[in-house]
Amino acid sequence: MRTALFLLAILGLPLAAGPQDPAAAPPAKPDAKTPPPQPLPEGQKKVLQAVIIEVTGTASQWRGKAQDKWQPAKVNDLLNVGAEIRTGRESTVTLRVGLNATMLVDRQSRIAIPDVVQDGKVLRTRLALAFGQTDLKVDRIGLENDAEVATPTATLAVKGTAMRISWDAVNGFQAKGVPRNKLRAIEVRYLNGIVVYLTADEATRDPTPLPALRAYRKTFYLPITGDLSPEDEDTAVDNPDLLVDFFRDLGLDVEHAGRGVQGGGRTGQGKGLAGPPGKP
Amino acid sequence: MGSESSFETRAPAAAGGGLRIACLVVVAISAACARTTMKGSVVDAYAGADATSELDFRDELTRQRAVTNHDALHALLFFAGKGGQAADYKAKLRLAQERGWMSSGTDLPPNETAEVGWIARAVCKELGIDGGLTMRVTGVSGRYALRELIDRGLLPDMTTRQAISGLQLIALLSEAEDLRAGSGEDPKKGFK
Repeated sequence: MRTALFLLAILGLPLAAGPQDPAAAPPAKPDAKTPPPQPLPEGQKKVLQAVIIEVTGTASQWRGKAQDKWQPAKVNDLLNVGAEIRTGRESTVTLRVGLNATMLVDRQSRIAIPDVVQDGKVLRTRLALAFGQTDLKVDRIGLENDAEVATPTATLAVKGTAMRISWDAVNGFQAKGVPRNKLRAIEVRYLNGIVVYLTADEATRDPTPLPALRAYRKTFYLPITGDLSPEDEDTAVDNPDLLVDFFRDLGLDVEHAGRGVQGGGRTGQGKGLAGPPGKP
Repeated sequence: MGSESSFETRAPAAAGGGLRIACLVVVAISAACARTTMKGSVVDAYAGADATSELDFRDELTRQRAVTNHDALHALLFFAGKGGQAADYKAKLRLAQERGWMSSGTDLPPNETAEVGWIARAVCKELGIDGGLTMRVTGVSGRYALRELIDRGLLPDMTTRQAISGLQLIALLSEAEDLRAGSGEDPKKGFK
């Protein structure tokens, strides 16, 4: 009898407590046995998707392709390659793009996702920012990262970091590194072929309609040791040799790189000139 | 005699030619001073106040080389949180005057290209930018409002009567939105 009462008490307790509150339940632990993404066999490709993970404001929309109608952005919406996203006033959309990238599309922006694919051991992500501002974080998850953000005047290649990219008609292209950025983790290729590597706390931009050289000069926080007339700047942009000489005169170590010029940025603002250019 | 008559016929022609040139100069000067009038405004096709209409209007505006008065008013009223509160252009103009964006009684043709001066004044009014000493003493004029926005990196070097492109207007309003939200930073910071 005593045993029966004991069993009844034990079995009755959960019933007396009522239904469990799902919100009070402890969060599910990540499955430690989930294997990390594995490289695909050579030559094999797998098209990936983007998923919306957060929406703020009321003016955020996306569409699958150019012919589709715009639809309001909602959490858990799945976006395929070719999708476009646009945000209005005081609105943002955050997405997980593919396996390794997180992107926040900031206010008054328009961005497309031309390509998100795992190609063998490479995670290739291509984003196109028409105008506006986006924050991008690319994680290292054991595969090679090949992420690029194209803007109307520059393309930014990301090797594994977080940064802010913006393009507008007043300031043109801007990219800012974050403190966690590793040396040369951000690579910016301007349309005229100049390649710039950013380090922590550095920034680059092309204030339109000024020549790209001015942006390049500002990238390195160059001291203005002499006047370079606009004509000289135009000539310098057309002639990489002149650019190299110009920067060497200023104490920078730069070199040609294919179509343009590569150079090392400063590792700290106002703390000496650039270090040697390294390989990306 | 023949040469005399030819002289007589040439003289009035020369006088007439001079008059024509003078007329052409006057016409050219007045044409240079006149503002361009566009065939229509973007807002004519996207007048709604819902999110889709607003974003369609914004996207189409970015393709415009010059913004009309009607388009600028429409975009600025959205920025001021008054989108959809004015039914037509006259009502928008009245609302703008009430908010101090322009002097009362100002009558701007809707499809004429907007002067960046009054747009700058509207943005400074909405953001509560007091500017420097001159602007504090003389009030928010287009001239000093524009200088203020140029100095803050929100606009490129311009003069008050210049037209503004759609992309420039969107860039200006985006930066202004950041400033109003307190998350804005001097766009020139870190680049000098």
